[in-house]
Amino acid sequence: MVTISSLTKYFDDICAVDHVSLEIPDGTMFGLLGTNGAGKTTLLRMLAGIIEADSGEIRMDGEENPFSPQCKEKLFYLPDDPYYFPNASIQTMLDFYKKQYPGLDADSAVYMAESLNLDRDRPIRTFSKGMKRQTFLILALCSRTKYLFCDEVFDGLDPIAAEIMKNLFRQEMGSRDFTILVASHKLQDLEDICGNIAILHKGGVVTAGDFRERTENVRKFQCVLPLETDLDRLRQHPSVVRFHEDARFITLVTRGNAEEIRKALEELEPIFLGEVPLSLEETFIAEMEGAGYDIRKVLQ
Amino acid sequence: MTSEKYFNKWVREAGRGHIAAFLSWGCLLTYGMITAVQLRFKSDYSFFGIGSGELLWICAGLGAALSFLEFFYLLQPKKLDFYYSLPVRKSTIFWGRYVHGLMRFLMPLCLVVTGCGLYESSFDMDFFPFSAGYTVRSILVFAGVFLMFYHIGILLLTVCGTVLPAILGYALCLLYGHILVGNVWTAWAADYFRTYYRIPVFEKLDILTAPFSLARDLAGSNLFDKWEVFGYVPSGSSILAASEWIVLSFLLFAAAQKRRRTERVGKWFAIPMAERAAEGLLSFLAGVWMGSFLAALTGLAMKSPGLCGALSILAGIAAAAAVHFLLELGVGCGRKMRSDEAMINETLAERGDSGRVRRAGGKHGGTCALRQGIFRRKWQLAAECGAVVLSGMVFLLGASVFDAFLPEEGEVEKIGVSIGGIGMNNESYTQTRTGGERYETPRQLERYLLAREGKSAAAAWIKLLAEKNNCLSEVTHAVICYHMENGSEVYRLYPVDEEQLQAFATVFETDEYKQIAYPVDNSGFAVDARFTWSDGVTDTVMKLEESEKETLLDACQKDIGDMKMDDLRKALPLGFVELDSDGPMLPCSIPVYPFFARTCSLLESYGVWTGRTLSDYSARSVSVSTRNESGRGKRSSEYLDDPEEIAKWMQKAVPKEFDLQPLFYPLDYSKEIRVEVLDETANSVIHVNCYSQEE
Repeated sequence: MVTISSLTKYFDDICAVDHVSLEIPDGTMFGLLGTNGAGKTTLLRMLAGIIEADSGEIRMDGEENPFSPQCKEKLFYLPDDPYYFPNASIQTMLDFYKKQYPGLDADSAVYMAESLNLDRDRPIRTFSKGMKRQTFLILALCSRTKYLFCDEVFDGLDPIAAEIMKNLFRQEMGSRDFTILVASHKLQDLEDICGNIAILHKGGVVTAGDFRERTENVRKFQCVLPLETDLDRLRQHPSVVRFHEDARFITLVTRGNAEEIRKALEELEPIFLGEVPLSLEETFIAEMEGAGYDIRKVLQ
Repeated sequence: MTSEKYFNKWVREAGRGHIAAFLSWGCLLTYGMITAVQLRFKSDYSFFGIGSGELLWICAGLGAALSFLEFFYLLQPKKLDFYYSLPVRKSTIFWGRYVHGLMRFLMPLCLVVTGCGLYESSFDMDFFPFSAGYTVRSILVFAGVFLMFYHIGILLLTVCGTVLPAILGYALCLLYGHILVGNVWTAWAADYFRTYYRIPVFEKLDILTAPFSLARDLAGSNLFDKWEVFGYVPSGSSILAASEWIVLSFLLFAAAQKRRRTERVGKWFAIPMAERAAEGLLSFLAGVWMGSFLAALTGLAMKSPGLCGALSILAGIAAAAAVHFLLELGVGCGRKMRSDEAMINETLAERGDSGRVRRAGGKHGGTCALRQGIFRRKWQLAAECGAVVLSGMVFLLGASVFDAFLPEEGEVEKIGVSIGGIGMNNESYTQTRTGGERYETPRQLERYLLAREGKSAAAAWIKLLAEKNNCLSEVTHAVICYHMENGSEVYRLYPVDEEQLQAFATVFETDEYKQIAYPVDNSGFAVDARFTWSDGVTDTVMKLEESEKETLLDACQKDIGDMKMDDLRKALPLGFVELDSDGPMLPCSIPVYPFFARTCSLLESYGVWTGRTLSDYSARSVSVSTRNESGRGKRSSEYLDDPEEIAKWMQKAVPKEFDLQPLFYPLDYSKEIRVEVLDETANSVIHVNCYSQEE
């Protein structure tokens, strides 16, 4: 488990990470969500030992010195734009990483590269952006580290490539004790793979945790109500988190006991009433608005 | 995985690009091959180690190049993220690259120098006895040169965040000492010290604080004689200075690599302290440089040193402050303004009032930020200006101490004296007056070294010069070099008026001075020498018995002993008795004046026509080149072949060889005469260059 306690980092007089405290449980895929400049990359770079925090503490599996070479053998950092040696091929980078990570499974890497039609002997510089991402993801997964920290790993990828990478993550997580921390500025990139998500804004953590669990009581209803219904009363109801009216077609996001809310709506004798599933974005918005934040400003 | 294995792995990893290996092996092997060919054909003038200017440039260049090649990763954020995320200590990568760069240089250097040493010793018997010592010394010296430049490069790359300040900083490191000592302190000393001639400590500092000058000194680049080169060992001070450069830069970058902050890559400096140091050093240099520039520009230093000093210091403070503010604007203030703008942005965004950032920053906000930014290091600014003031005051207030320097006789071992226009020809004398002369005065100071009665007389005479502060009727100047008992040298320059020049007779007429000025070698070797009489046109070999030679030399010695300084105002030499020998004696030339009665009479008795002058020869033509009155522009030339005109000029012409005392017996230097003399004995034409006697 990675435990981050009150981590702070200033760049001159700009606070990039402001007293961030998080717990990343083992075997999970943890998402870091935030706009550009929210402090995601800085947090990842601190976790990878590239830059030092001004204050606060990072513990990896309880280790007091998580950046000793022995400890760092347990983590792999995959930046937004990974570095590779000039003219290096997959094989060159594989040979290099083999020296750094003794547990690296070269056979699996070769197999995965072949499966994804990546030429092992071709210079990486000639690869497309998606191919480069796949290459480094293969290297990261096959290094057999316990932790993988990825920065904007799905950014710029087409949906198929993104899905392939997500599948690779899922397979790896299913096969061993593997914890992934993914930073992204797009909620859509994280919603179908991350259970835990932390939202960063201006260097601080706005909220963190398993949002699906925390929003079990949040429901979304769509209904058409008779003309004489007092909509203002409905809008002011304490269970209604969001209220959207389009002519007589009303969309409600509610918090509380689902059955009681349905019963209350039915009492209004709706012409039509139905419950629809919530997207992670809507769940977030509901959760954040419940906490007093305008999430749309955070995620803009 | 043991740490040793780990380190070796990273040393090998540092050589991934092969550029460093290609560069160092390529340069040194090419040098080795070319040098080997040169050694074969001209081993007297070609040196493969110490004394080789080419190897010096290669080592210095490789030092700089390898430091940049090995440590350029420190300026590449992407590469840094890559390396620092790996399971390895940052220091392991750093020191792995350090050792790799060192090995990449030392291996080919040792191979090439040893190979050249073995090769030269196989055919050059002169070199053979020196081969081992010279080869080892060469390896050590050039390794030292490399280390100086390598370490400076690493230090700059460690403390800088981008390549431009690293390159500028490197150039500044190479030039800073030279600019400060050579262009500022020396210029100030020349401006403020009335008796300044040279300060050896400054000259030494100029070399020791400038890495390339120091490297040249270490590598003996100014040596050309092979015996000197083969036995050359750098001076202790040079070795010490080089060691200081190497060790100090090593300690600094070793400390800096620990304190270096990865996130500052991309800024000018990766370590805030380096930013401060660079700012301080640059501001101070700009201040003192401006001060010395103003002193030179106004030329007030000698007329009104107080005013000039005050102006220079004020200008220095202004320049130091200006450079400080400029650097703050470039490095610090911009950041401050950006953060203020960000704060305003956020405030407006919270109010939902977007798009007004620029106006909201406004005039007052910007000015406030600017003021806060450039004054954020006000104590440092004060220290920089204080250092400029202190520097200026040291020279201004130290002038009286410097000019009043008169050592006790017991403190001085020897005194060297050189007076402009005495014992030198007019060309050198003219150069000493215009300040462009570099050879004659140092040569005289080395030659006219007085250690016995001449020293006491000289000390008394110098006291006379030093006591007279204002010399209004300067006729010439005297340069004095005190060789102190502690081994140091102290130089002073004094203006000399007519009265003081007359007083110099007390020095001139000492036996010690005359023995130096007119050396007559009457040792056993002299009697074996060839004696020749030269009258400025032709040389006549004198066929003398040994006893005649001894008698002649005795007569010369006595005549010189009787000679008074004032006698030199009366006449020019008649000619020279020249002694030359195949033996260990150095050739010497004794001028014979008309008042050398014993010598003249002896020479006459030996059949020498001492009274023969240029007019006694038959001339074919005379060409007279006359300088314009202004002394500038073209000279007007006249070719004369009319016998009457020729006879007239032959009466006035004096061979240039006789122009020995332009101060005591000046000639008309505005005219240069070239006479074509017919030598009837050899049936040839002799060209004699002459000046004209003053009318």
